[in-house]
Amino acid sequence: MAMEQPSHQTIGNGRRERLVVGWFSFTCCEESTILFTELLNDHLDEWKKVIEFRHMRMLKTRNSLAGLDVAFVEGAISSDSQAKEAQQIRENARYVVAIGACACTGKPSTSRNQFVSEQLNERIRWYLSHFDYGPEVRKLDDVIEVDDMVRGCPMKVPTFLQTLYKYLELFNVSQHA
Amino acid sequence: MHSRDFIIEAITKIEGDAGLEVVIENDAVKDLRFIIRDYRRFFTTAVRGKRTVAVPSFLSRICGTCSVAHLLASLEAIENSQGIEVSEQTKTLRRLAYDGLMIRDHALHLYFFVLPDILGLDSIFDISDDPRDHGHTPARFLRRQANWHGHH
Repeated sequence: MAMEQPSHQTIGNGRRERLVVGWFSFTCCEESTILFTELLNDHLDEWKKVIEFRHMRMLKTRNSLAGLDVAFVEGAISSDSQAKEAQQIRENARYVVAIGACACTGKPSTSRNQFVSEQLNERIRWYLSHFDYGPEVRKLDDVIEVDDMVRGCPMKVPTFLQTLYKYLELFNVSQHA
Repeated sequence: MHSRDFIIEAITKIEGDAGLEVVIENDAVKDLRFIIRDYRRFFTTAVRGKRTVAVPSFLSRICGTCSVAHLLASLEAIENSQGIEVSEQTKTLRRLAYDGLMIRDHALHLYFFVLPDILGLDSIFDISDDPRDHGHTPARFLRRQANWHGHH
């Protein structure tokens, strides 16, 4: 649920104090999120100064969708409810970055799309019919517009850092610049 | 006497996606449901027909937190099925990889999930930069807590 947040603070020369970021996970193994937490070993002190992590359920108790500059989204989309959630993220973020193989290509989460009829046994049919599953699993840009992709399984760290720093510069974040 | 229900839609600071539903009647918990919202990906079906060399890396994608455990388990299953014996050096290297996983996973839980709650903070991002702040040096803080409990 989105909460009211203060507007983006700027300092002199129109520079922004911090980039407002959200991190989201859909259907995947979440290893890119784990990798992100490992990056904090080296970058926590630096990022705390220039990034406000406004939504990141894995690490934060209080989360908000409001006014995100960049949303990093890992995982494929397995259902209509996940698609609606992704659309809500898109509406609240100026830029969306797909993170990792499941978000960028769908695989391996899309495996069930290729199941032939004899693989769809009684147990799988039961799950698909009793829970919130869509007819097929989709990659992120099948559901919402995506601005950038960080590929890899898990994500390629140099590409992630390059993408993050690109947005820090794009939003004219002061200390980074 | 109070009766009310509450639902936590999304539990935070966990790996995966889960909720909790609690039913309270006459000041006592009558029912409690832990709701796992992660979507199944049917790996046990999807792995059939794959070449054996592709199986360990494929099955390691079951879980990002414990990918090493899934990778090693699938290697062992393939080796057992083919009667393959691995060297003592390989066994030692796998043991080290597994121990590395345990250290990483427990450190993640302690420092990233649990410690901010103990300190009354929202997240690890809110731990002070001031080296005099007890949250800045978690080990020092935990040691102090242990001493406090030892003296009280």
